[in-house]
Amino acid sequence: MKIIELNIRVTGEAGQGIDTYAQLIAKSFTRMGYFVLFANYVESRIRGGINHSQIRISDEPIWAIRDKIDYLIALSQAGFNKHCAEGDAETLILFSSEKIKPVDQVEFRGRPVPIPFIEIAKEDGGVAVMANVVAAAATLTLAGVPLDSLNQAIEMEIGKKVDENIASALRGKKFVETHFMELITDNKITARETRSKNFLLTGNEVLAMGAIVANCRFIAGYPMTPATSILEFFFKKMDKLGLVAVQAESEDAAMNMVVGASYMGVRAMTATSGGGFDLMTEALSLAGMSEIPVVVVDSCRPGPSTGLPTRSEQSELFLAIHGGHGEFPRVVLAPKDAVDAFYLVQKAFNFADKYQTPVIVLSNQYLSMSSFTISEEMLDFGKIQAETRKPFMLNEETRDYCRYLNTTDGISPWLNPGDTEEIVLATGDEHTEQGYYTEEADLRVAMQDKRLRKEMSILDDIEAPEIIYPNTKPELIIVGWGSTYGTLKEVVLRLTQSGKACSLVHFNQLWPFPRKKVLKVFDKVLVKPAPILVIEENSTGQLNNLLRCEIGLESSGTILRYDGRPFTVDYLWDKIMKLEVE
Amino acid sequence: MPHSYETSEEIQWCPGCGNFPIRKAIIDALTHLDISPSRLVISTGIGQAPKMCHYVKCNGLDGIHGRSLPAVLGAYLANPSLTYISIDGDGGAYAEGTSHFIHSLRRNPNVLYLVHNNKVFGLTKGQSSPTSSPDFVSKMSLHGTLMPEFNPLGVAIANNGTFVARGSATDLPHLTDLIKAGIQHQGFAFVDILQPCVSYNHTNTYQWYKERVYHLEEQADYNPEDRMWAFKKTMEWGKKIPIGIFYKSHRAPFHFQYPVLAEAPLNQFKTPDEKVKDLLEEYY
Repeated sequence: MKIIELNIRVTGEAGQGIDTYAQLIAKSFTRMGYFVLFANYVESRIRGGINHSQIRISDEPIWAIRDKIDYLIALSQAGFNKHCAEGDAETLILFSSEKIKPVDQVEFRGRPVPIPFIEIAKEDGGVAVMANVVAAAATLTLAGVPLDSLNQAIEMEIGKKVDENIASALRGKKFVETHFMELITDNKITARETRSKNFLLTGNEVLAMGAIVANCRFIAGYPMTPATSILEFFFKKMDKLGLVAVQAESEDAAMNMVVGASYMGVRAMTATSGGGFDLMTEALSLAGMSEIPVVVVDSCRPGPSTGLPTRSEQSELFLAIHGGHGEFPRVVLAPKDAVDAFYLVQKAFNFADKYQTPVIVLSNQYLSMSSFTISEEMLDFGKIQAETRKPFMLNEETRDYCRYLNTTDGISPWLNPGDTEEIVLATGDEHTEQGYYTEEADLRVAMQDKRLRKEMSILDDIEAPEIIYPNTKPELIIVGWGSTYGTLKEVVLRLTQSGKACSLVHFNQLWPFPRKKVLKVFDKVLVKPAPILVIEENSTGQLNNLLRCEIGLESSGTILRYDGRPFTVDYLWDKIMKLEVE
Repeated sequence: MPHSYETSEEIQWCPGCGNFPIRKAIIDALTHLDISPSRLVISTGIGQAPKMCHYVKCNGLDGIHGRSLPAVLGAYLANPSLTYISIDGDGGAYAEGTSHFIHSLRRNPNVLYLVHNNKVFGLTKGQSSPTSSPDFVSKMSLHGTLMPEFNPLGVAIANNGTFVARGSATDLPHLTDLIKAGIQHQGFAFVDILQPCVSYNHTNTYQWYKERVYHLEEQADYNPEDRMWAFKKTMEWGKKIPIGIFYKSHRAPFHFQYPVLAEAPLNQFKTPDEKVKDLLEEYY
């Protein structure tokens, strides 16, 4: 029978293997042809505390999470106490019965399902660490899923003591069948036919893959949550794909290395989070002035300063637009979801090369570190052709190559140092067309105008925000940007289905702000006057302010979330319903 | 026919600046080694000395204060076959860019690092630098810096620099030889260059240095392969100031870590789509 949706939450201490559990469950369902999204809610620590993962399973691609809990798996008492009332009357609460007990002072909702995961793991010569496998098997059994794909997942994810782990999974299944037969669902789940293979990757992994498809060959970076796994991806694949990855001594070093590599004609990038991006802004300004293409991924977490290092936010839009002193053109992109990240990062390199200017790609912890099921057909490797830097044509009456030749569109022909007999200058100082120092007033103006003129061409290439569900007469317009796309889209669909015609305007390309295109979009959706609600994960309403600043649009209000957790479908639905009442 | 390294640019240094002889030494070394300007990259930071990439014909990467080393590292890794020289003053090298200095010593890229050490911040008009004497009075060190001088050569030896040297603008032939040796060295060659600043340092003048510098290699106990000997020598300053190669060792240059660079410069490659698609398999 077809399942529409399953929501599983696993909680416990850091170091207890929550991630292993989530990976096993996710891989099991992905292997069977279903779509999974799981998001991690973790504390900034290595051991202890209370972490959880929220896993959502569907037979259709999913790009948003919920707060709903069909199955709660608690591996620690503290985790149990914190989450046991978060479900509803139907929730099944599985917990390690050896060390966890429902506590009188803590009310819970749902049906407790005590299972001695650890004891079951240790039977027949097994070890305690297999408890997560037992828990996964128990969950799947209750959910009507056979263990075949779990066994495959064990081999892939755990890789060692495979037979013992598979045996412990079987014991977990048997325990449930013996003691909780009545709780096993009637909806048996079988493998689905799929058009193409399904893979499970994090947003960062897809993004890094997109960068490599774009022929990025050089990355330099400094580890910072939640961007680190982009750097690690390059390191892992370095030898196989002939890439160069450098762990820099600091973010300012990293950004300067990227500038140096790009100067030599190599597509180069770095990845960091807000605090690291701050350190990079001086070199960003250098890239803007010296017209050297660079791509920077800024994966946002709540600030200011150290903030909540392992959580999520969308509070760096203005930093991306304005970071780096002086005035120079740059492009700011914000992928809507993991698949969009694959294509958008390729576009980022094209923008950077074509316009010889910095490009910033905004992500956040939710998009970067959640795992998504992506089917092979979603990733079209040949879709985006790489654009090259404007070529330099040597001719007979040529004067010396002028790196900063003033042209109609402001883009100068590019030459790689060492490829010809010409010399190539790059400088952060104001300069002549050749690239030597100048302080002449009129030359300064000519160069600044040249750089800014590039923005006109960039605007032709920037795409308008997407409109979802243009109803004939929407009663509500929701506006968002970046990683909230899946959630906003699902809420808009639900609202429309429940009788309130609603449209979504969603941005993934934010700067240079395409005023004319955006005005056209709003003209299109505002068939009749309707409230405009801007929804974003920050405390000051950055897109809201940008809309006012760029096109004079005054929204009807905002829904802002800045507790470090991403919008879920349920959270947002509740907020909108409350607004309706008011 | 020898290459010309002259550019069209007016040289902005003060008349009598120590940068002039250093420039000559650089050009003499390049001429002797017959390095084509189009195969030379000079990466600089901010200051008077870092204007060198506009006064010597080359591919110039004129970057930001103290960051000439990370910039040149990126360039060098993109194409290790060119000649890379990073030039900075004592402000960029020993204040703003100390971290990059230390980690470049550890990494050992095939880059020559020339630090024009005039013991003052010239371009910003006379503040003290990390190598200023403790009694150096300036607008931001009204009673002197009151701190011991930064010891760049000591730091270089402590962090396993494979070519650690000091030269002087007062001894051109010697400096030229050091620069040549530095370019030829397979690895990170660091040369601290004593430089008079006629505008802001009236103590450490041409005369002052001439009276004090002596050639290390002429010493009976000269042993540039003995790290402890070299380290001791870095602490020698005052009536006698040693110049020459303090320490030399062999370690694979940084780019050897990347086998792909042995084949061709990075910009010659394109990752085949098929190989990237293969990456997906492990996520199945």
